[in-house]
Amino acid sequence: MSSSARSSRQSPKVGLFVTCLIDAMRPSAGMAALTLLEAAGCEVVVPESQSCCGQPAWNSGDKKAARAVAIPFLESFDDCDYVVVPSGSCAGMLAHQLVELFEDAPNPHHRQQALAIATKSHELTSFLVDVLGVKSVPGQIQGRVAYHDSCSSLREMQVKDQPRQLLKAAGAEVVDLDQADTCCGFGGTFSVKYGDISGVMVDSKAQDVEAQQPDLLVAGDMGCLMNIAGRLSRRQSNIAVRHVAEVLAGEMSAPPIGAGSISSSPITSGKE
Amino acid sequence: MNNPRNDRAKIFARLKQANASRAKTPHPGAIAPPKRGSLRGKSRLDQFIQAATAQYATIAEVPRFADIPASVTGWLKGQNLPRDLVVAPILSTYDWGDGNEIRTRIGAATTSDMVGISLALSAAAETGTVMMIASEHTPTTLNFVPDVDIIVISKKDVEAGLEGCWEKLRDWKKNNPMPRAVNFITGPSRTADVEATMVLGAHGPRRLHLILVDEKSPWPKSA
Amino acid sequence: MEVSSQKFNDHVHQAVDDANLKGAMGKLTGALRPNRAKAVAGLPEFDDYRDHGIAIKMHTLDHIDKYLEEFETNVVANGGHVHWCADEDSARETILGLCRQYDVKTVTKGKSMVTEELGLNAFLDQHGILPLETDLGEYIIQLRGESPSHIIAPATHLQRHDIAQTFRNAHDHLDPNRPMDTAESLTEEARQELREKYGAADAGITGANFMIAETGSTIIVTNEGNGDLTQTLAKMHIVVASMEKILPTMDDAGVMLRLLARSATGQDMSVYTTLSSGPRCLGDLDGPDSFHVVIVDNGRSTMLAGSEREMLRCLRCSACLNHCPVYASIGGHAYGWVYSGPMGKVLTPSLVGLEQTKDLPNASTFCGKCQEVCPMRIPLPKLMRNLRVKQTEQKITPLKQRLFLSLWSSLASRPRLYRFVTGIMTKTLARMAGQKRVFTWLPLLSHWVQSRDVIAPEGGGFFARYHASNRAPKGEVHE
Repeated sequence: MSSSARSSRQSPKVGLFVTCLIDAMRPSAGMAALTLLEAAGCEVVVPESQSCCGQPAWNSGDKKAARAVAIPFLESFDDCDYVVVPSGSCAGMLAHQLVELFEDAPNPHHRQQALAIATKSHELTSFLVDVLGVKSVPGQIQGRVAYHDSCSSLREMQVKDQPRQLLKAAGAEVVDLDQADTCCGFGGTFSVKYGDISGVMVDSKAQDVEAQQPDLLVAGDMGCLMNIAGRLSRRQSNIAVRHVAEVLAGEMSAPPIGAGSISSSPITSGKE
Repeated sequence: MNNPRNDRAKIFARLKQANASRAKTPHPGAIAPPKRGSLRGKSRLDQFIQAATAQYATIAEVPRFADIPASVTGWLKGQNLPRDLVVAPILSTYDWGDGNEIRTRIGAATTSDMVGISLALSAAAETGTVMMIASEHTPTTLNFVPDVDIIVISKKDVEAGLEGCWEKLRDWKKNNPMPRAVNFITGPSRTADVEATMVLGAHGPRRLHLILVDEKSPWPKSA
Repeated sequence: MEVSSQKFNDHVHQAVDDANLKGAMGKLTGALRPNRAKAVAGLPEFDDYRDHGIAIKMHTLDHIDKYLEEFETNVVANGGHVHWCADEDSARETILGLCRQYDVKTVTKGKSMVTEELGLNAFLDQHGILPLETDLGEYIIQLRGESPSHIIAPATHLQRHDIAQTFRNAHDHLDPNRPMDTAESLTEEARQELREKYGAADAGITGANFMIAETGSTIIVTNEGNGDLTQTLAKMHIVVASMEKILPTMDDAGVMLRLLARSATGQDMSVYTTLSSGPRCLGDLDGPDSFHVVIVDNGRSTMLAGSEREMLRCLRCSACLNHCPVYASIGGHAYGWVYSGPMGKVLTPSLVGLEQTKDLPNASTFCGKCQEVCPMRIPLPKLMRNLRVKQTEQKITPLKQRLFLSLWSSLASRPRLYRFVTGIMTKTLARMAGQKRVFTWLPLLSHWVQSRDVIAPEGGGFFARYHASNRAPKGEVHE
């Protein structure tokens, strides 16, 4: 259970960036990410001086606030080989946006730190597959699993096949949505500032999910998951929703996200 | 110049200012034509025919320019179209008959003309496109006003793609003024403004008929 | 054109419930998205052409004054005239001046978004000159007194029955029982109505997709033929072109042409691509007697100098509109000006100012689909974010939002305090939700809950669980 002492160079040292949404909404998904990384042979640390990647403020145009939130973690990952994030959008923020955020920052040291983090940040499933070459995962699952691609995963982080490969490795029959590359309408504050539009978009996505009749819907982004599960719940759909890390890690003892019924789902897991 | 507020100086000052302290990027030069824009010989002609047909043009082939009147007359008969034709000056020298089989007028088109015929300067096989120029030999209205547009093109003038067409135009400009209009035409007119549904025959011609001629075209020598 | 972007939220509210609009948008995206994909797949070198096109545009912008000068020299050599207009007033006055000088009473128009910017039709009308739109979509909306809702398909917000009703009202000289239920019959009717108008017009006004410096030419890329009839049959041809349309050579135009129609409608080449370079030449049997190019700045030079420079690469293809899920949900009128969709969210604020267009850069999830399909790879999300940054700096962002972000960031920049506070909040919410695991309502989240339940948090936060699990490395505490 406890991680072994730092040993050879074989064991990559990974800093886990939990993300504020997983921290607030679904810590079990963060624990599942931890399990996956350890099972893949990583030594994982979770620096305490992290809260949020700063994206909500950055996307709202408030550079000052975004920097304030990012500065505490800028040097926390200095001795890590990699920074791994169970979220496409937060990974995108670290890998691509952080450098731009600190481009004209008063403190040049921050710019360098941002660059250092950017070059070693990865989304979870793409880290496992592309960097570590993982072919098997602790979790086992049967049934039809629909995977929802978050826009940042798809377009910023080139994550598409990796989670599907891992789900298949876990035994799932992976099902794609018809409009797989269309946004679910979350967009952070967009979902509350432009609720009308967001509502239309998420309803479209929910219907797209229902059309596939999956046993389970998963995604790698908590924002999308809250959004889609929230709409499915309002539509009284029984489709269970989870973070992809939970399924891959075989840690599905927590109830699904939202109101999807556990008992109605024929999904089984080999590990509790 | 009749611009009451000629802002030329003002605008140029703004532009110079905007670019003043910027590093300038070089022009990237030419890019190779795509594979599909580089065919030669028979494949090029086949491609032209296929591409034009796919865009709803109809095609006829004749060996010589002198064969055009007969080809057109036969086609109009077969299509049940009126045999009244307005002809571009450059095509008027062929024997259009005595007015029995087909009646012709030479010149620009008016809205009473149902069928017009003109000659292309060049064509691009890549997209099944013909290149028309406004000139004393080839009035532009022939391509747009009549319901039926017949365009003649020599097979020898069919280029692989637009690149060849630009060269043809540069060549033409050596001895002629820049044509008032250069029209690249691909198929009959169309619109999709109603429910994104394609309808052939919008404001321009409803039909485009291309006649491919083996012989070299009668365009005056440019050189 | 009048800006109504201030009413964005009201427009949106109406639009999302408009079943007719939904149907129309479905038809647009259902046709144009697969068409583009097919056309792009048909040109394996498409991405190379994009890169090349971008390089051409950026070089041209770097030397824009030189190329505009070359253009002018060649237009004049061809017998035409060039007029320079710094802003919309100047452009309107110039065009009116030309009409007066040449005794113009009637004008036919090809589709031109720049003339929409200028509100040209209303202006000419006020001065006793009647402009008649000839592009089918523009003709329809002119009859309805509407503005375009899409940059290449102006009437895309309408369904067949809407158009039939408009024609029934406007063409009251025709048999009221005539068939009007197909796209074909409606198109035919417009054709017949407009047929004689081109030749009767004193002036024809067209826009320009591109200008070519090498030959002194303006280019229009169309399908209907009305643009060509407009410019060929009237006595005077006026082209209204915004200055960033300039390109160095014909070959450069050729590069753009391989990108434009494919990105717009999925055609390899539009039906008519026309270069216009002057008045009729000696010996020509048809064509206008005079040729005037009205080059308009109207804010472009400011964009050139600023952070919106990349937006000047825009080819006006509409690929971003056609693929945007926000545009598909609300249609083009909601944006409140000429340019809608993602490109409108950047261009409109850039040209008319951020004050009147507060919502435009914000009504986006940054999904990035627009940038993905843009032939010029314009980083639209980044440009929208830049505008959001400007709004914050200029305090245009609502006070409530700025305060909330300030508050949130002062908390989130203190991770331990942040965890303490959020730990309590989430535990409380988790307990409140209990077995249901969702909330159907929560204060402050009225916009969310109108269509979704709120997922209850698991409660307590990650670190509490992490430490309790004994999985943290012993003896190491990472700050």
